[in-house]
Amino acid sequence: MIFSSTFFLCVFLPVTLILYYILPFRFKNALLLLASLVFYAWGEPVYVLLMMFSIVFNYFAGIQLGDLKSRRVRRIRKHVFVFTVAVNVGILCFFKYYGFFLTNVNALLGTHIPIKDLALPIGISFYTFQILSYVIDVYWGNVDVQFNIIDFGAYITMFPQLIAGPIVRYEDIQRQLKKRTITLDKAADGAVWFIRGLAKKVLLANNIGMLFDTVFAIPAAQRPALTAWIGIIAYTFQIYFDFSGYSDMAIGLGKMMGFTFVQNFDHPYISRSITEFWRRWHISLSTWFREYVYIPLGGNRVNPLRHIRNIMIVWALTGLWHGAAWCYILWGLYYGILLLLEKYIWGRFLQKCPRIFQHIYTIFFFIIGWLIFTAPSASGLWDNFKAMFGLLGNGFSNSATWYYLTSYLILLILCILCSTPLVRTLFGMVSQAGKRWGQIVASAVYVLMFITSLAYLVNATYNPFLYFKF
Amino acid sequence: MNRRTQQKQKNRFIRIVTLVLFAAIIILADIFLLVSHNREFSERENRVLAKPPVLTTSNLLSGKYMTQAESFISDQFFLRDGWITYKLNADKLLGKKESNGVYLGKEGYLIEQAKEPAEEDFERNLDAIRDFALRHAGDQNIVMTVIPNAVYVMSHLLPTGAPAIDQEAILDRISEKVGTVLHFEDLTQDLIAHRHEYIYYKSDHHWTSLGARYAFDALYPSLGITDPVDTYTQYKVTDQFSGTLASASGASDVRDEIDLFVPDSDIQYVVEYVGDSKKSATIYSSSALDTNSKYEVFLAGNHPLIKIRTTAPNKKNLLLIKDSYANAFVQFLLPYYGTIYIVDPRYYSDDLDKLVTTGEITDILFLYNVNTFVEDNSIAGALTAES
Repeated sequence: MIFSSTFFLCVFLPVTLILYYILPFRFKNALLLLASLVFYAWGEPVYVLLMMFSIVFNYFAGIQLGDLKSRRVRRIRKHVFVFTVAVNVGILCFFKYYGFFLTNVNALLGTHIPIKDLALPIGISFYTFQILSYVIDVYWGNVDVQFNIIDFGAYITMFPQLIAGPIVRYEDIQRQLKKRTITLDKAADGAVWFIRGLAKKVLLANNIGMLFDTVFAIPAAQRPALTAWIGIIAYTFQIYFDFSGYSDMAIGLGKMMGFTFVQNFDHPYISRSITEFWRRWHISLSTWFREYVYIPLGGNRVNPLRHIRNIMIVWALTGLWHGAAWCYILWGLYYGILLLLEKYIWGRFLQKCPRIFQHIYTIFFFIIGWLIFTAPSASGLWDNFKAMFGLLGNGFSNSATWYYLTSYLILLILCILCSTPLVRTLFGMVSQAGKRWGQIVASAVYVLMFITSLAYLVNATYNPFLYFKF
Repeated sequence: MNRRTQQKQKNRFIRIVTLVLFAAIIILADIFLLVSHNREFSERENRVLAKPPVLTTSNLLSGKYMTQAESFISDQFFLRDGWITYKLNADKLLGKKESNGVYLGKEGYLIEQAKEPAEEDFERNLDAIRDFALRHAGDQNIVMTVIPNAVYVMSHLLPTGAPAIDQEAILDRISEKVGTVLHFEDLTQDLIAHRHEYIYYKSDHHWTSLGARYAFDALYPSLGITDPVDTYTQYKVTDQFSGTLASASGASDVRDEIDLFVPDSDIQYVVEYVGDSKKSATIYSSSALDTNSKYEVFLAGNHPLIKIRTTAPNKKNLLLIKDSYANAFVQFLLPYYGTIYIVDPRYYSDDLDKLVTTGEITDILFLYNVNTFVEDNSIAGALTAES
């Protein structure tokens, strides 16, 4: 199930929340688990079994790790730990990278191993990382073993963040699983977060995404430079509002149920360096890699060569995490290199540059990053790149360019504004204005955002049957 | 009260009002879903709306149940048409100039986007037409015309800068391929000369009777017609026509009128819908005017084979191979032929060569519009069918 659907909004959410609020606290996690399993099974009726296996397996693995700790058998404990991690990573790799791996093996060795087309279980990358955060922290002794399988299952499956994060580390939430307060204020705040996220996803991301689709449906060889830029800028906004909108909805739903999740995006597009960009983009993923890969490898407290190695490992993995294709690995490495360059070569210089230059520099590199991210193939990437710089001989623009630009100008401006904290500041000012009218305007804006999003969702099945089309 | 707490109080008010209204809207939607009768048919979308999902194990495992549930809730959402209108207006407000493959043009015109040729079928069709023409070249007068669409003829009404494709270039390609074996007529300039008149519907992808008339005026010499009737009695049969483009784009407020052009002659005729074994004394179907698809007032829509016998003294018999653009064109042909056979290859499955012989055909006319012709996948099959 996805949040931006009428079924979720009109059936799943109200039923779940009403039950959740009326049940006494000790049943709330059980309901959350049950609801989350339904939520997951809605989109993955078969793979829900896989997830249940993961829950049971890791539940016992956690107990085992805790037990072995008290018995001080370090070697066995290490073996159990490695085995547990291997099973989790193995499942992830099998479903996510198996086809990719074999395609490359076949290409490399000229073999013809038949590739079975496995559907990727939705959210597996997210929940596997949540599981790993638990297993690793139990091994390190950072968190207590969870003996309640319902609480543990609720943590893994928690529907608000199940499909698209944020990746909640067990450490951050273990206390909330036992004790959390549900207040009207928190729920109301949650509704506001949810509406904001929904509007980001449905109004901004989906609509600007159509511009990207239109532009990239034009063969690169016929794409004038400005059109190419408009297309990739559209994608830049689509992915941000899609992803951060989803995270906002997750945070909002969490609040409605008394949880506090970490913030996942913090206006990444206003960053003034790539280093800063990654402190603001998909924060929960960067944190995960930092805690469980980068720091264990030695982080930056090693000699530069090892540091470079660490960075490149982390970023190759970050890329690979996003998907089983070379473009994602390339995208990860691209950021690894940029971060190293900022660290060792031009970081100092960049800091001394005028702010406007820092912004242009950062924007340029993350846009090129998205170009890599969406690359259909190596040659496709190169063509898309050349089109942006007029190297395919299509000139700067044509009449269609202006058509796209005027058709989407308002939306593009909205996207730019909503990428900055400006809108929030302005909104804050308006909401404080006057005795009451500022508050009325502010509430009206939220409700209007919700109604408009709803109209786009209802319209999704707008599908006139044109049998008289011929 | 200091400023901080005042600010907090205000934010609290905003959030709680938002939460209450958020919940109210959802609850309202649910109440409607539970108590109101399900709407079966949407006039506006011209389709049957989704019914409640059916709970079976196989539906659940395949995920079909979930898809059905989602469509059901969206389709039966309270005031559905109102939400759709609201969405379209929101789109317009954002500056969008197209919707579902339809340009929201100037002067209230909705204009279907130009279609690119589906190359393989396109070539196959042209080869088949060429072969067909070669088989009959000596005995019959063969004429072909493919009518450019509003997107090209009325390009001045497109939103500024809208990417359009050159339909004349497509006509040139057709002409190059078949022009040596039949009379290919490019009527683009004849229609462009009248581009400021009402020659295409605003809400539909067809041309009007007036457009068809200008085409006839340009085409009749090659059909061997020497003294055409040039006066017509016009009947405006509706001004409430809301066509395919209105449906597709959602701009349901655009309305057209439909005019019939009846040639001033004393020819009588009878229309036989072969296959339906239905006969009629008129080519117009007034019952279509009560439906959504009012363009079907011409020949009651598309049929595999229609045979029109007239009292015209002329011994000429015409075979018209066509798409729906021709439906509005037939009214102009009536006074000049003893019999007119109208074949729509999309539905026709018999041997056309045989029909040419048995029907004692003297003239063959291919009449299509560009958007349909470039995407057609039935002409080649119909022209080469052997039975």
